[in-house]
Amino acid sequence: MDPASLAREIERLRRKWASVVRGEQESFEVPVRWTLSGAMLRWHVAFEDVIEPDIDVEILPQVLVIRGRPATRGASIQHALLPIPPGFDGERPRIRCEAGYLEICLHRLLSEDGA
Amino acid sequence: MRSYYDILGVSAEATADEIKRAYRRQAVKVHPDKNPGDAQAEERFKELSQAYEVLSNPEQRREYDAALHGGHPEPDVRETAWSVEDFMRRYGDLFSGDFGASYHRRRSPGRPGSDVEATLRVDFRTAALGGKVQVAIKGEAPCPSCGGGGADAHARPCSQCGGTGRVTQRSSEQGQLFTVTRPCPACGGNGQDVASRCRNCGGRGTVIKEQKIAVAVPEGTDDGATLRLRGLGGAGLAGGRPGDLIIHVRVDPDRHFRREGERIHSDVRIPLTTAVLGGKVALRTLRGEASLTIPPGTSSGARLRLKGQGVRGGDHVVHVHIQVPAKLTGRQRELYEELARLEG
Repeated sequence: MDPASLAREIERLRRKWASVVRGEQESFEVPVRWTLSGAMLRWHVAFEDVIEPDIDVEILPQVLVIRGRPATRGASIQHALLPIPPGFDGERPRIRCEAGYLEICLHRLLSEDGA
Repeated sequence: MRSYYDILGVSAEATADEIKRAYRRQAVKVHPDKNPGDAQAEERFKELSQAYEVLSNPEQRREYDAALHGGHPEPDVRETAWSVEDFMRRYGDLFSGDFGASYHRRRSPGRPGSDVEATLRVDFRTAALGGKVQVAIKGEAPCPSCGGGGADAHARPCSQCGGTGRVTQRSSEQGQLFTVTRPCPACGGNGQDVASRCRNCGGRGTVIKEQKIAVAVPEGTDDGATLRLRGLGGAGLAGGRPGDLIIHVRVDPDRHFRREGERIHSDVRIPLTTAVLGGKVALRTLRGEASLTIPPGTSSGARLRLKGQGVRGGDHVVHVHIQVPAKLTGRQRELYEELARLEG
């Protein structure tokens, strides 16, 4: 899947699963970006004022929902909806968190012949 | 005896925010939800919580600091009636988000259905004036057998997830602390024991069904417009709310009309004589046939306006084209020649 088709697919999945986060109360969606390098799709979520234990990653079919509660009392919960395009392994994401910056890597699923 | 500052791993000058963070960071590791049956973890959790209870309260912290420096006897918080449950009732908000379930409790039960997208072709007139269009959508609908619950009459909750359909664990990768919630591997996320799943839908709670929906197309709908029909998308799982049906409207072009916002344009061909002498011609409008008055001396390319006959009170603009006869009868030729002589 080339980056242009991947972008279209990600947008389609975002629209399809927007209902998952539509009902989130007192929260707002943070901007996310993604990069594709080789067989890995990397999502980058920048949480403001959110410390690591306050990050919750929910794995759902076709999407990952990330929620973060800022340390500041009274601040709104931040969330992000990250589509899992077909061909990528959403069950075993590699997640790295550094100072409120979350990186989630999805590996491309390999077929039996390794392609 | 270790001081409360030592227990939380902060200095005696730590701010309230530093104390809170330190407590949360350590408490999530030993929380009883994460360490069921681990007496040592529970003891450590109590210890952390007692320290936090005192240090997070400015008045108690002042007293404690004074006692620590020999001013007053150390307050014995251990003597107060205290339990994990009590503590969670008082300080539960601190843990919102630390443990996956706390987020999920606030959300509606079940999993919301997905939004379903469809393209709807609408004829020009319906898009302009509004109307209802039938559309057949194939998608998930609640299972008629189990009512969407996914379980038979003797439903038992999944023993691994306790019926929530989700399992939550602290990430063990690289010693990081965030929470990962995933569908329960035992029940696949529907929360039901495999043996008590609805036989009709296999426990999903939904079946694929074709639904016919009458979509109300609003007056003046543009090509490319999107309509959102709430609750008509994919069925939610385990009582979750349904998603929306998102319809992308494609408006078919019309051979008679063109649209420009609220204005409608069309063409009318009139005989040369009507253009010169004036008269009436039949005209097709969005709302049916009408009679158009052509003023005498109308030129080709003239625009005549029918007020309020466009979209949402806009005008219908008629572009006049004069039809010059390609063939003339003998008598017509005579008359045109006479006209030419008169014009000199």
